[in-house]
Amino acid sequence: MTDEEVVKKVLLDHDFFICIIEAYEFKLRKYIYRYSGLMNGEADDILQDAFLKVFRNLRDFDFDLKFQNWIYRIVRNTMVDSLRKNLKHNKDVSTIKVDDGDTNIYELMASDEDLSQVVTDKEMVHLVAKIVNDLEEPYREVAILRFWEEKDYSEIGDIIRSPVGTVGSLVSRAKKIIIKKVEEEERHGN
Amino acid sequence: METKKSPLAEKILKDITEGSIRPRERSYFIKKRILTWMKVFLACFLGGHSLGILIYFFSDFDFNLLPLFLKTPEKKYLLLAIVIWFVFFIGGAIATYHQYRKTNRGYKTENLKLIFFILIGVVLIGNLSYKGEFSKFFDEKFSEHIPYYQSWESVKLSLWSRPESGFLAGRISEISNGKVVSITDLSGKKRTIDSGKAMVRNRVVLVKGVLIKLLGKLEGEVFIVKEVRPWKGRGRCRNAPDKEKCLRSSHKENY
Repeated sequence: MTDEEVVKKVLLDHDFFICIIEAYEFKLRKYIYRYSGLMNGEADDILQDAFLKVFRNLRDFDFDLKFQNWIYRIVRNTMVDSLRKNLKHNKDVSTIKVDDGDTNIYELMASDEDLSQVVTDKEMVHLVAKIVNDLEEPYREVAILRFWEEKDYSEIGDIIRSPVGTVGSLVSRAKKIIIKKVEEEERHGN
Repeated sequence: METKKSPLAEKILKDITEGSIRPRERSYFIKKRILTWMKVFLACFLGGHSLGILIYFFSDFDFNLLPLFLKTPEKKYLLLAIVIWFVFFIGGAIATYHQYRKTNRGYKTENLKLIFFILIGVVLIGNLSYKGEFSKFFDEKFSEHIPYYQSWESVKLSLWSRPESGFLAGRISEISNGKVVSITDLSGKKRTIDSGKAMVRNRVVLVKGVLIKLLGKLEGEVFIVKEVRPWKGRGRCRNAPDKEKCLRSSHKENY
């Protein structure tokens, strides 16, 4: 069953909402952690709030969009609001967690026309993660969505509500900064 | 569905059940969308009409008289009006941009494309507002309700009622040998005119009853005219077979 079909089912029988929670809980928890560094209780509060918003606004879902992007958008907005309210943007270097399950980040970066020149081995991903974490917004956000959440430009546009062209420029600029910083780091290392 | 739920899922489902939370009705979102679109059109109309009023000011302004105009007390009112309408024009365009972005798919339009379409919309509404005389209407309504705001028409009337400063306007009451010899000024006073050496702008149609502007010098009771200008319009009736009829239909203000 596709997400869109599940949405239709939830509208008929609210018990089906559990399917949406179960399909996205892990993925979105990871996204919250990568974006804000929040874990456990705080991340749960955001997730709970976001899922309730999703439930309340289900009839606002545009079936021409991917449900996945819509739910990411709601989580992202809830998270931004919460961070703004609490004014505690936890910018720990470990915020973007590169774990064993993220091996495709390397593949994604290595296959990227621009980043392939600096991401030459898996170890480089850790350095790039550290650099991405220190990027200014909105470069940091688009870099996370592009390389950690594996979204394409159009999907990122749907999540952050920006035109595809703008997303393209942001990703391109983010990549340039990353390449520059990796080169600087390497020079210092040498 | 008896599956093992995560603690978060249980918490959310409990909230939904205990709080009797239900998905909002479709009508709620339809109303919200209509409201957003109304704001888009409202902002666009505000920007467009403000531009229309600016067009109304500038199309009727004698720019080569600017240095003289800046010495009159009316300048502050007109400058204030221009600033107000310029702010509304820009503000309207910016508000249109932001409100459009808030529509459901508004974020998908590329920036340049959106700015281009907003400008087209605002300019189109501005022109329609000017041509349909809504600009004049709004200008006058503003002067009635906003303190210190004077309509362009009242500023213009006041400006062209200063024969001692060289500005006079009125309706042609007598023509002799193709020259204006007397007019009834804007206060209804009959004035003798010497337009023997006057330069008559191409746009002017010299027909009895037509409203004209005169630049010159008051010498005693006679106004020596240096230049004759139309009150309004571009003189398209100048070569019409029936000038009076043409003027009546095209520039009511002039006739």
